[in-house]
Amino acid sequence: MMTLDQPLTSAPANTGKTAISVRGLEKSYHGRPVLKGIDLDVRAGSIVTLMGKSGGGKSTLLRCLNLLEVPDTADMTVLGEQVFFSSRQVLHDLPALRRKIGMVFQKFLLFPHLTAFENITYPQTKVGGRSQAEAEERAVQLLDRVGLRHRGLAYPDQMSGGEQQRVAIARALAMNPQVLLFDEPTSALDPESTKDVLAVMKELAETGMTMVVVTHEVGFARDVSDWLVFMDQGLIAEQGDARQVLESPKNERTRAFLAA
Amino acid sequence: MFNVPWADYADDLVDGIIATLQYTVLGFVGAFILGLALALIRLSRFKVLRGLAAAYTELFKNIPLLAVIFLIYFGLATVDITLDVLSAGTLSLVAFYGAYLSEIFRSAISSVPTGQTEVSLALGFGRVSTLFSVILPQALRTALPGTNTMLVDLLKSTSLLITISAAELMTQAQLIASETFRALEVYLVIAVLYFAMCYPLSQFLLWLERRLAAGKPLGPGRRKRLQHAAALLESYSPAQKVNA
Repeated sequence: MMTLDQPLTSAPANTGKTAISVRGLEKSYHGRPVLKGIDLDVRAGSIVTLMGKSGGGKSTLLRCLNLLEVPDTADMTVLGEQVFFSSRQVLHDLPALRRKIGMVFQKFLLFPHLTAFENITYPQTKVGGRSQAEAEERAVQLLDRVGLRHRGLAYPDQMSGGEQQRVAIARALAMNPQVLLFDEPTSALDPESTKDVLAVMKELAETGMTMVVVTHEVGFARDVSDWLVFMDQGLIAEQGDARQVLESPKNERTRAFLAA
Repeated sequence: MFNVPWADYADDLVDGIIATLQYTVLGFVGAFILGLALALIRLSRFKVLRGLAAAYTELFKNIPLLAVIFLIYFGLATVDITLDVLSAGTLSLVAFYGAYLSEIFRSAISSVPTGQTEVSLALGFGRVSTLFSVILPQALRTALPGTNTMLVDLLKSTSLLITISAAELMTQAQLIASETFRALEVYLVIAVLYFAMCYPLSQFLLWLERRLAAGKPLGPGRRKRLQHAAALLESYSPAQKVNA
């Protein structure tokens, strides 16, 4: 179904440089702290997995990375650009930044009134600066890559969850992002669809795409990701090489979570 | 029973129908724009404007259309704002139906899940393009049935403009009836004419709703693009691309 003769994306292969750097990120809702001082580095080309109990702040942290959530305080550099100054002053051109950071959501969030094919072409022509023909070529290519070329003219409500999520990944990729954020991409899927989506993500990882993934899939964390961040109660409890953390977790809460 | 010399009144009837359709189109376009503007204001973060828009909507929803017509045509004249019949009639319809449409639009926009806004922002849409390119196209589909009902209702309500002698169909009917003393026959014919305008209109709008619900393209542009997409999807071959 998926081959590697051509990379899924034109993601930069230069590893080692820092794609995202976060220092001292704090965020609270209505006085209740959700993130209590996060330091995180995402190297370009690396796959970072965020794990932890629900309510531990993983998704909020992820959503802060493309500023869908505005932190209370933070020192944030994304793709070489300082993006956050204060909760009242963020980067003026957020749309341009967000086009470089794709995001895939738990609930897929395809545009329900458009076909799979149009879901992929529409953002490209509307805000990606591409012509209809360029966008269409890219859409066919990406649909083929995620194994859904035959479903191009289906509407979201005619597709399974797994198919929708793969279209959502293709739609995000169509904007040629340099970083992709995944917010529990398989949590709403059955085991078989989960496998299909993880396969696409794995291939993506092999092309050198920088990825930050919130997931409960221990298998993905172990087999695909380089770096594992374990979050608990708004703090990073433990982070390190993914296999090392999974095999011999140092933190008590990490151990309890992984043993469960 | 049928003793009215209809042939002599054909021109009057045609004029009446044209005037009715004119009020309908002008009134509906104006009400649509006003309704959308009010809905957007009510969903905005400007508290004072929000309050004003809500007050407007409640005001016009709770006054009979006839009272609105009288206020605008006769009422304003007493404070030296004299409007011609066409302006006063159109304005009344816009003011009244704008309030109703704003409620329909507001609930339709609110019904689009917030996730759609989030995913659009994440894809790099700005706030404004998210609203106009993603949210409104979905909201208008939801709003279609209610909006269609209002359009047909507006067409029928133009008959109230008889009270300011707007020369629409009902006014013409009254003139014919007073000349021929054949009220039953005249108003039966007029009722049939209203039916002949409203029924096809509502059937057409229902057909539109069904097509949209089924995801069929409405315009020739999108139909062409989808045909083109089908061909592209069919003929694509990754191997071919590498060789090329």
